[in-house]
Amino acid sequence: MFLESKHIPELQRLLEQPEAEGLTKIRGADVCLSVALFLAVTHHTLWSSRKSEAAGSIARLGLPGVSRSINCLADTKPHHCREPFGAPPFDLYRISSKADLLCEQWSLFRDRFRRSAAGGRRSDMYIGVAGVLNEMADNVVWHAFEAEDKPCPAIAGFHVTNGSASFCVADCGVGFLRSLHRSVQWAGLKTDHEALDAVVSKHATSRIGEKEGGGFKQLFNSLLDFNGLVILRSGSSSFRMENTVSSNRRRTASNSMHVPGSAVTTVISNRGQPTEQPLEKSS
Amino acid sequence: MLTISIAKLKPSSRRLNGATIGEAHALQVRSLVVQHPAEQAGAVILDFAGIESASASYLKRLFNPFFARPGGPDSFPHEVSPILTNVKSSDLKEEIEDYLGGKGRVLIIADLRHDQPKFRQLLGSLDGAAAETFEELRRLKKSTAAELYERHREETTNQSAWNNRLVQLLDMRIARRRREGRVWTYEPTVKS
Repeated sequence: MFLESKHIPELQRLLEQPEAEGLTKIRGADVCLSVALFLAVTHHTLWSSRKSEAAGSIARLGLPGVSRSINCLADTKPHHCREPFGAPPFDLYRISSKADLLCEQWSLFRDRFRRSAAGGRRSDMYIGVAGVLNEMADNVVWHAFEAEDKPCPAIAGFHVTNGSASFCVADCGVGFLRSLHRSVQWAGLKTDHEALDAVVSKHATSRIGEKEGGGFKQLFNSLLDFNGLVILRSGSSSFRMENTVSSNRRRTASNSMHVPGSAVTTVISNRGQPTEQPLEKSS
Repeated sequence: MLTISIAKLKPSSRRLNGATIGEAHALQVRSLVVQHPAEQAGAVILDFAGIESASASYLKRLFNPFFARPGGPDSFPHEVSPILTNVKSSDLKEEIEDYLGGKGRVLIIADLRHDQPKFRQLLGSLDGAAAETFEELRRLKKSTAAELYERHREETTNQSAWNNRLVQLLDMRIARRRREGRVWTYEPTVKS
């Protein structure tokens, strides 16, 4: 069984079952980066809410990448990589404040992603994509937090395979809808779907006094050079946008049960269909 | 005149992305401006040497305080005109122009000669009347609303229109003024 972004609402449903036996169905499954980060953020939230049994049931699943993600979120300081100048296929970074995005560790993390994704090739395209990762993380500290002194668990990660590179930023924050409600201009939005649509189609931003947000615009533009897939998930809605160099951009929206927090996942591939890939068992 | 190397602000990077870094850099710029006397820091040279690109969210945080209303939380304690230099990368230039287009603002790019800025070009676009006024002010080097009205009586019905145009240039931080007796004399922020 391979669990990818589209399975997150179903995972949420299993997590909400009081006896948590449903989770045994997914023991041993393959999971992609966005699912590992979702489970880690959920674990952190449950643990913080003193629901240690439910949190423990996630940790005991033994899914690839989940334990590392849980440990990363539990750290009180940004993760210090043993090989800061390396190019690992899988890496994680905890985001809990603006300071986490100003320190050298964050810069080194983005550089590791760029090196891994470029795979030894010299290309400005990957520099641009690493910049997008920064914008996505930036959105967490500016938009997902309830307030600057009320942060939420958030984590960034990347996963590079032979043919593709993906990165994801997941948080358990206020979500796109509540964030946009901070701006008078977007106070009339009613659903998670409307909020995601406003962000994607109208570059909506919750920053007071600003008409347009630039982060997602940059994200979508940077994908023009690649076969790229962007998945935005917030609350009960998720948007899937696919861009292939040879064809037009395609967007599909889906609604599901409410899932706490938000996530932005990006997959790029030099050729072929960009798809989420399972994390290696050793992750 | 105060010169700030953007490449030396912390965290330093050739590619500047994100509001968080923009805010951190804006705070350092603010601190440097505040340390300088107002007469020296009325204009600040932002040196982009070594910078290859900057995202919209970064540029908003860096530039917005220069245009903030006096007394606002982001504004400087006194009016400060930003002057850009060493904007070499075409990507960076495009990104700054995108920022300016969205805000209806302009910024001066200058060359430094013996540490003094010399006007090179405006980034962003001025509307017709503002562009004409700015060009005239650059040609005359300094002027007053009364003088411009006298020179161009056929263009406006009264002196107030010229006064408004000059104040607009002031608000855009591309002109500055000083009081001489009972009248305001205007001059371009950067000499040609």
